Amino acid sequence: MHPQTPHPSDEPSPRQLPSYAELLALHEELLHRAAVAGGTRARDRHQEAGKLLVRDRIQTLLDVGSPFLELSPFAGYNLYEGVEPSGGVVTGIGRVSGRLVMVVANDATVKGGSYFPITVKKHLRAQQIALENRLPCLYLVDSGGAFLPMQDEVFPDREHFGRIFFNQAQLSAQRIPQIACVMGSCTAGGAYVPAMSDQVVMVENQGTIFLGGPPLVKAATGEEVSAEELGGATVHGTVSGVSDYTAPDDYAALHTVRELVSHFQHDSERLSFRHESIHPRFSPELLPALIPRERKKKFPMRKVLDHIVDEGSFSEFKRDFGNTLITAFARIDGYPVGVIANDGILFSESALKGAHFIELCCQRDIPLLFCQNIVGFMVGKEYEHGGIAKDGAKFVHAVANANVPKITVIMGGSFGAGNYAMCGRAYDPRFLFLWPNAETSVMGPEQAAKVLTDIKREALLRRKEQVNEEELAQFSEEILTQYEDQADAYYSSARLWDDGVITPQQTRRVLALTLAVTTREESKETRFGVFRM
Amino acid sequence: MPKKRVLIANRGEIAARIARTAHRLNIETIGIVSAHDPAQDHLSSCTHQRIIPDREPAELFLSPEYLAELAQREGASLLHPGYGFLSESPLLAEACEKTGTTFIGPNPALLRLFGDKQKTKERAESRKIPVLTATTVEMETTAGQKALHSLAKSARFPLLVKARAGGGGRGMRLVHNPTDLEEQCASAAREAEKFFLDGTLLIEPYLEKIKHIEVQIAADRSGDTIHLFERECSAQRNYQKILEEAPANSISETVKEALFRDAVHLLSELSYSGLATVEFLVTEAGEYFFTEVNPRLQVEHTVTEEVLGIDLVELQFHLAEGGTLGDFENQLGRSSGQPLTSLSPQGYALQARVNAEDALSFQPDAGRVRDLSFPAAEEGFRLETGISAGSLIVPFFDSLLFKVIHHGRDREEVTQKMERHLLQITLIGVETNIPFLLRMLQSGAWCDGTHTTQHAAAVQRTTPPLHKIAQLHCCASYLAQRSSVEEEKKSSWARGDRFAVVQHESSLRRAIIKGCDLTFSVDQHGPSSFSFTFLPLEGEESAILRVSGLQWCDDSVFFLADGVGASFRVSQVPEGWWVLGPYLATKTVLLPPLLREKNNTDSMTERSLTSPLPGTVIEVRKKVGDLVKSGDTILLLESMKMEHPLESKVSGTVQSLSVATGDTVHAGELLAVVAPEER
Repeated sequence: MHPQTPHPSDEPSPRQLPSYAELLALHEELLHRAAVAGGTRARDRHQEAGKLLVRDRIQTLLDVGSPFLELSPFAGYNLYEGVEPSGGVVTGIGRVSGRLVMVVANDATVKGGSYFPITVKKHLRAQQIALENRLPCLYLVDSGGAFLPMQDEVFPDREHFGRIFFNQAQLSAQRIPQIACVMGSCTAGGAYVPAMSDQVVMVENQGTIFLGGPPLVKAATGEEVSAEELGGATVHGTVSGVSDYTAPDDYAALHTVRELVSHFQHDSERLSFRHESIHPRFSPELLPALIPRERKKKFPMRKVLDHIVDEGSFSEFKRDFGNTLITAFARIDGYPVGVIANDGILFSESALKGAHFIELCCQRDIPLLFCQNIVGFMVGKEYEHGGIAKDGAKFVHAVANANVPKITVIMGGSFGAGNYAMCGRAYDPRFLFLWPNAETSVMGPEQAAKVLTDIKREALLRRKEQVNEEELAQFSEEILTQYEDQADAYYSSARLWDDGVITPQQTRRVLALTLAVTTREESKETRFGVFRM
Repeated sequence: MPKKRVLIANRGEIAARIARTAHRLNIETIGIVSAHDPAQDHLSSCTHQRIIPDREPAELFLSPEYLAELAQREGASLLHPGYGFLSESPLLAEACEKTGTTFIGPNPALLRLFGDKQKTKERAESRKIPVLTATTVEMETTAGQKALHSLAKSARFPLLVKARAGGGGRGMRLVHNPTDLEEQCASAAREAEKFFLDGTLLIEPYLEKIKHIEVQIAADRSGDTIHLFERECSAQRNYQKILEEAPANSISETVKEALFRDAVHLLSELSYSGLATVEFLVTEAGEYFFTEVNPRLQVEHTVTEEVLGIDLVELQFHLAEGGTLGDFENQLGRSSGQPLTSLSPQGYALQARVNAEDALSFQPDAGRVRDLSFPAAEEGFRLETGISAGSLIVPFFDSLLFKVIHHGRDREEVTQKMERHLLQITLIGVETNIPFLLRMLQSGAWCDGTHTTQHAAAVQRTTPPLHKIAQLHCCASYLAQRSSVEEEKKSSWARGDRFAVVQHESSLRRAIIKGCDLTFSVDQHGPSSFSFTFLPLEGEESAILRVSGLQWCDDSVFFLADGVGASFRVSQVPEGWWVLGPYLATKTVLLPPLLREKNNTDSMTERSLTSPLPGTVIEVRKKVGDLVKSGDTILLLESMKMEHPLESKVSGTVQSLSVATGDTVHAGELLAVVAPEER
């Protein structure tokens, strides 16, 4: 049987995605879980000790009214027993004393702020964003260090715990300030976060820094010593010199950090870069209604963009050529941006147009925004003969080498090579966000189920074994479920394949904030390699 | 010939105002200030300045002999006392007579007469001018006690108790019940004794729904006495005028004519010369009663000047130097060249007194004026001020800061203009009654002109409780704080909207407004809608205030608080915000909320005593188990030939002592630990 001949049991039943209201309700619930991670008891205990909760710390630290672009709040969701979304650390960008900074704040209510593998990954991702965008790093430290039962997944590898300190050294060398505010434990490896920082603030009778805590000291040498005597703020401020500033409580400590930041060189955005902000033609609040509930239904990309970009700023390049890819100069909240958005499958012409447009943006130092809803490249004899592989490669080549800031939003499907060409995670976008309905996988769940079932049937036929269609149908269903689960936005975000799931309504605001962050400095010159012609 | 000189024996706005006219008349001015008075702005308006070397506030500054001698020494042929204490002092008038200085005011005998309200009334009554019969009571005497008893039995209540010697509401009491009379009189007498050194009281029937109307009189030495029309000063708080107007639209012409006739009659009979004001109370029915004569320039003289187009200070100089009413040549624009008798009021003028005081309780406020700016000059607008930005307002002197005057077509127009002027004044650092003035101007009775001397009290009764007002100020300050980040509007990050991917439960904030310590949280529901949750104050329930319809216009924010609209002007000050709201102009101090106290306060650093230097223990004063107080010496250390006592930082029990006399210790060595007592 020819694999491409449809078989009645091959065709997976057409599925309806959940309604957007349901998606948003789930989104809200997970955000709430992220916000109260640690649970009531741990939070109460934390506050009874005179400590502020992690998000209150951040709010106190930030300028009043400052936005907080929190990164990956769903990290760790359904990954480990007892760890709620956010993974024990809150990271994000905000304004402190008028300067944009990266905040990395341990949440001691989640397993004592221990570093699980995803905690490490999230911390490293924040440092990477800080490096790419030259953001001073403020570490609000309150952590027991590596989660010892999983030491093989947090300690030894290149992108494990040690990388945090490597990054601190490298960031500091790049003149990106590193400030640690010690508001709880900094034990063992954790001790190096303050030790590797440019300046350290400690809270009295609360923050401690030591390589080995009192239990370890007792076990090793028999010496009995309290945590405060061993490595409290007074000791480190007056004896060891590990700390530079001492504060009586969280407020005072955070105020000290604000003061330190106020003495940094002024960081200004390239305001000449920005135009007057104009509201989009339609309110972003209306976006959810536009998103189809079935994968096969047309996704109205141009209309979607009308809800995101400044009204009247959308100027399309090569509208009538390769029109399954939209390329347009536009502005979001006044920030110029080159939009590359999918409006169907990628053909040779659309790939060439995309490469051309990226060259334009690189020449003019205009950041790129990729709006993904892509099944992949066109297949078939005609297209292979037409050289779609080399044309697609030109597009991927241009994306990979473009040195202007790249920001990606996955608005619908992100499948196969389409994910790569449209600046997926592997192509180092400065920021990558998903919508709650986004799906990421090597191919669509239906296609995967069909392909894998066909292969299985072929293998059975080749081995001249009996084909049990019922079993095959069950197999197909299992594949479909697996692909759908793994394609889920929160599955992705839990593993930090992105910088967070944002709602369509938030997108314009988030993009404006990220554009402001990424365009503060001129881009380095772009050099492309060999385009296969 | 040297120029004529006048000593201005006053301070603040009136000193500056007198100097202005004097300079126009080519008279040099000598301005004085008490060494204790930091408000010296008026000095800059004067040709010469003298600091009075007071050892106590206003010791010499108010001393008649000193001032008369000073005038003589400085070659001032004239002394202008302005208004207030000195202007009514027969001693100063006498002292001036002795030194040959012309005192701008009546002779000492007349000042004595008018200083005794009872006698003045008797004089008026004898000339068939209606007065309210008053009983004089000296509390200490048996006659006084008797009089009180008979009043309590037979008089028509309420009764008004006032100090015979006083003015300005000091020592005044309104008594509704016969049973309260004695106690209230005793308290009034004590206050009168304290302020006027005379505890004698006047007790008279109190009329409700009355208007305060006064007639401006000018008289020359030839015996010519005329009136310069009337003023209405019914808007009074605690018996002190706050809004004064001319003409008095609510009084019939017939009543006015009667007032003019009686006022002129009274003063011409007494051979008065100079300016004076005769005050009356007028009832709804048109009955009127003479109350007192003010033999001086009034604070509210400006409104008469505005409607008549004359300069009353100029007229004072003219009359003091023997000029007659007939030969007074008015030099001001509108009425220039017109004889005084042909003047008639044109349009309507209103004066608002801006005092340094709490706009709710009228308690005086003091402090540094951090910022001050007035509305731009415009037709009809007049300002009389003695302060400027940076002035320090002290409580020893009058609380009047400045006067805002507007002259225009009619009462309605001028009221509107006055509201606008008051709103445009920026005054940060000292509380003022501006919010109260605005409430008065916006009240129904003011607008229809039916306001009586009780109106201010009625307006004050509509004041919400302080904590409710504090909540509004708290909202305005918080919103101001949020938007202050917007100064750099060019960045998406500067919008101040607290956008967050993860909205977390809002944390607590804290604000202190006039002693109200509010802890609150804020939830934002939309771009211009919020809810403020205030944690319960003692004895109160927690309150939620829904704020919507937020709109900014420059430094003013408007919002609906639970549906009721209010506008607030906000200015940043180091501790938070200065907020001019509908009830108060005051400071909001923004603070982070209190952290819960730490469990672990007995830190080792507090408990342990370590040696500051290397040395030898020369004496151990305590042993393990001893009770010690914080500051007690535990042991003595000798180092570098110096003794160093080591003192316990906490109170408690000595837990350990690791050294004995004669031991050598290293720097930083732990010598003793004190276990703190349970708290």
